[in-house]
Amino acid sequence: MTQRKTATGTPSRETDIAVIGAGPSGMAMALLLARHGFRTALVAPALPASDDRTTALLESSVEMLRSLKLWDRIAPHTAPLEHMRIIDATGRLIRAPEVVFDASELKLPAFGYNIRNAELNAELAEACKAESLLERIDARVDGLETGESGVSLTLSDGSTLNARLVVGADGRRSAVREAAGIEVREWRYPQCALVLNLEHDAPHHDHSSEFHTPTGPFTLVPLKGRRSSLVWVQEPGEAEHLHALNDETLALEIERRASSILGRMRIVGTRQLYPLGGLSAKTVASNRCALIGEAAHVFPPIGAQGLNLGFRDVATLGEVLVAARRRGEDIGAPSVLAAYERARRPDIASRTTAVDLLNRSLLSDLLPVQLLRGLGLYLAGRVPPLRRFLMREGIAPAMARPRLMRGLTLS
Amino acid sequence: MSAAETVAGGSGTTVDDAEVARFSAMAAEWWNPAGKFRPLHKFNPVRLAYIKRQVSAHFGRDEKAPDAFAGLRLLDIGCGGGLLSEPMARLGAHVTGADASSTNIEVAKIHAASSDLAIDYRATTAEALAAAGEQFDVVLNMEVVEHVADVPLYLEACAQLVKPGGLMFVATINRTLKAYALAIVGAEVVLRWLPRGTHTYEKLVRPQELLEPLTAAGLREMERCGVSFDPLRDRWQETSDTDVNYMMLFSRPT
Repeated sequence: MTQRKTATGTPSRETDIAVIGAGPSGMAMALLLARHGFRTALVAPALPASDDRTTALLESSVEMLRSLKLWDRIAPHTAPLEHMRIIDATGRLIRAPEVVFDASELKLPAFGYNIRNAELNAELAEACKAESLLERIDARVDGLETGESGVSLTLSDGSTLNARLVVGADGRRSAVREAAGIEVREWRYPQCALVLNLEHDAPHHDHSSEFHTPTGPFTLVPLKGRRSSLVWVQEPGEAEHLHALNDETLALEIERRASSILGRMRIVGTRQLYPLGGLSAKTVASNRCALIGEAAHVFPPIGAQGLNLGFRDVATLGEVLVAARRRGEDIGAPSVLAAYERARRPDIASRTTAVDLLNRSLLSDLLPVQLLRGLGLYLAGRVPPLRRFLMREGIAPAMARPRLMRGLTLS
Repeated sequence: MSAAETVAGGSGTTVDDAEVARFSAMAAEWWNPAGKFRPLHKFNPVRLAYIKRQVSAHFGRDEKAPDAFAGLRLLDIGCGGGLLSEPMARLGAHVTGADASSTNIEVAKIHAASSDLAIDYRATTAEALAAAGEQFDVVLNMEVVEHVADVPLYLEACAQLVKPGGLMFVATINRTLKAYALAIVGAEVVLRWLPRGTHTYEKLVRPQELLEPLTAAGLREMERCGVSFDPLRDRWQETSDTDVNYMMLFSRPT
């Protein structure tokens, strides 16, 4: 990156691409771009101290981390997810049968690998430091102006940053999205998610267990050792009641809900309560700005889709930009952004709809809806090709697989 | 357009004044990808990929390198607003962009400056460049021949601009009934991708009509391919069907 002084004396810097936001998607994006020869600035306030949430990295995300040569560093922090158990605990007239999906049916060692975000972030941040083309700027973005051939960013440290392209990785309240004039569709569910981590006496045997209850899913995902993460979706009143309980009482309540399959439980770390909602940007790119991760799409924490979808944004945008540069195209040109939009839209739309439908089917008291859900899970349990299709599609839709997630390189 | 704007509008040139006037009127639209030149913007990736591949192979460059054209002297004839010149400059070529319309050249200059690209834009013609004895490693002759007044005369001038060992790319539209149906009736009347009157059937050029004058001028055909629109994927792609849009590649033997 080159430094210049403007006429007014405030420092001004030039870069190819500015990535705004240093969550897992933003850091992976910056790393991928720098590795492929783009001068990259990663702009975000210094990381918040801790993030107790966890992420199940599905096979396609692992493939991308592998191609970025990061997987060997991340793998020791993860627990494999070899079996997924879905249990109908709706207590309704028509209940779906219990279904267990095994990764071995897909000839995979695991569906995914569960990791605490804090550890994932630490490894990504460490890798970012080692990139010569990547500069980390600890600042907020206060202003963004798109010109004919570049974007001018005003940062909270008083400096100006000029880039050909801006990547908005700044989350659901994305300032980049707003500055680019991209509208969103937003919706709320009558639910809250209680998210926390547990220690338990019995081993989890690398099983995740998803209890479908009338108020939403209750999901235990294995962490390393005798620990699991819990996402418990409840109606807001009940969720707040649970959130207010002391550790011992809440742990007992969780054990009871889990039918004691993991034995006695203890709560570790902090617990968090999230109102559930969804958000979908009308387009993922406009005005020299491309959106990735939750800046482009938000949905309830069901089925391990969120960050994995974000990583597919990362791998796809990287692929589109490397191809555009190879043709000599302006990397922020509308035609390039349109190619990114075209590549991502079907995947984002189908994920958003699938998660939305699954969630709404749990909430529905309508008999036909219960029937369909029950029939769907019954067929998924009995018909092997359908099972494999659903499992594979759950991991990553075949159509949307970017090169980096197929074990291929970009250059 | 005023007479003063046409640099080479005098006698003995192959520039068709009416054609130049029509494009100058649209010059401000050049860089608007949603505007009148949308089809050209959509067309760009496929022709850029083709040029990148062929030039890299011919000059022994790494096709994947972002600066594969470093040091090559390249001429973009009928450069318009610079839609091809700019990518060529980004790939490292020393680019000369020539257009008979000075309005187009002004638009192109302003845009290149804002893109931080050094491109030698000149309001001139192939004939004038040839008369001055200029030669280039690569000559791009893309979507131009169907707009000139005298095709053989124009091609003869273009051929002189290719250095021994150099390449010339020609892209145009074939004069077939299928081209009439798709490129004129389809693109201009039905889909309205292009303003009506952009192309006239009689001015379309058959591959043989490129091959003969260029071969006579000492060039050799290396290959040809068709370019077709895939409506499902909403993009253009290379095909073996040269009935409508097609590209030909020529070289001047050393």
